[in-house]
Amino acid sequence: MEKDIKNWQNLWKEEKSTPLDLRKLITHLNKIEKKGKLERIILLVAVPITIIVLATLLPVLSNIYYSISIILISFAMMMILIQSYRSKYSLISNGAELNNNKYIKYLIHKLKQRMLTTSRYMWLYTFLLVLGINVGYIDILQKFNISIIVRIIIHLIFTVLMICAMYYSIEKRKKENNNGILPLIDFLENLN
Amino acid sequence: MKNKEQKFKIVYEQSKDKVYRLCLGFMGNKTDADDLFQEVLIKVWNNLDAFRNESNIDTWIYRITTNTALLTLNRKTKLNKKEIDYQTNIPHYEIENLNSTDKEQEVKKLYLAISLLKEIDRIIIGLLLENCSYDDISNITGLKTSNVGVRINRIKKTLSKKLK
Repeated sequence: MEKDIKNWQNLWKEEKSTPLDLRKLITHLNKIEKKGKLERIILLVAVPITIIVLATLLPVLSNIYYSISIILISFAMMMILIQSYRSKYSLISNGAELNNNKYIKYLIHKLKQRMLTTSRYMWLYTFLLVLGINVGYIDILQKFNISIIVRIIIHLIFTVLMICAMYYSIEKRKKENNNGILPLIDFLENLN
Repeated sequence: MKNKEQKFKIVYEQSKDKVYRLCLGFMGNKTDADDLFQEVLIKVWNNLDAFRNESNIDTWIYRITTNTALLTLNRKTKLNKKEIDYQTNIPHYEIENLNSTDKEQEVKKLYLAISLLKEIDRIIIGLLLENCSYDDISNITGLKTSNVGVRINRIKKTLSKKLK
């Protein structure tokens, strides 16, 4: 058997990598790194900048209803963005630090977290979005001089429509997850 | 940045063939191995600043390679599940290539046989053929050293059968 191993080792080492132009490669790697950094910066600063710009430019924000509405919606968006950011960028360093076994467990954890984003965080997002928009509408509807009952009905119709739309979207994404992520989790769990 | 480039050049020159062989053994064909190899180089570059000199560079780079391989396979399974299902019957190498010598045929046969093993077994045998000790393999894979020994014996038997 030891002879076999020696023989396999000799054969194994016959394969060599194709020579690469190292200067070109490094230039390319620098470009990728810069692009990655830029993407992260854009993702991290885009939302706060949008909020600040809105807060400074829009006079509607002097109204308490609109302010609450914008804060709620921004908070919901930030929550989803942070979740996506975490699942997208934290894989890089762990690939070098963790052994295969821990890395597989880590991948499984990440995939489960992605499923959780759909099932839990998206509903939280929906709740905040519906609440935020409804708060904004309180002031808009007040200006139309309509009865409280009609206003409540409008709020209810809007809420139901939003929930239905989000339900459809979340269920669709859940279905995609079930088809794509669940087999992956299963595959990774069976690797060892 | 210059320091990083220097460091990368050294790591690249030292490890390129070892990494490429692991990629080829894992993926089983040159196209996928090249893609994986490039991905590993990107990861090495991205993680180079975090590498601590007191750690063993080989162990570090093998970890990146094997974890990237697992991640790539994971992604491939997601994207091309149907494709992979039918590809299992397609030979990874054109073994009957008339221009190749006997030795080249043997090399191809070995890589093909390895690529048909279970994923973790491909990593273990690849590392063994790169002269890694059982302890190093245990360190990279996260398996216990005793378990590594048992698996290596099993892999040797399987490979011997396949290569006869």
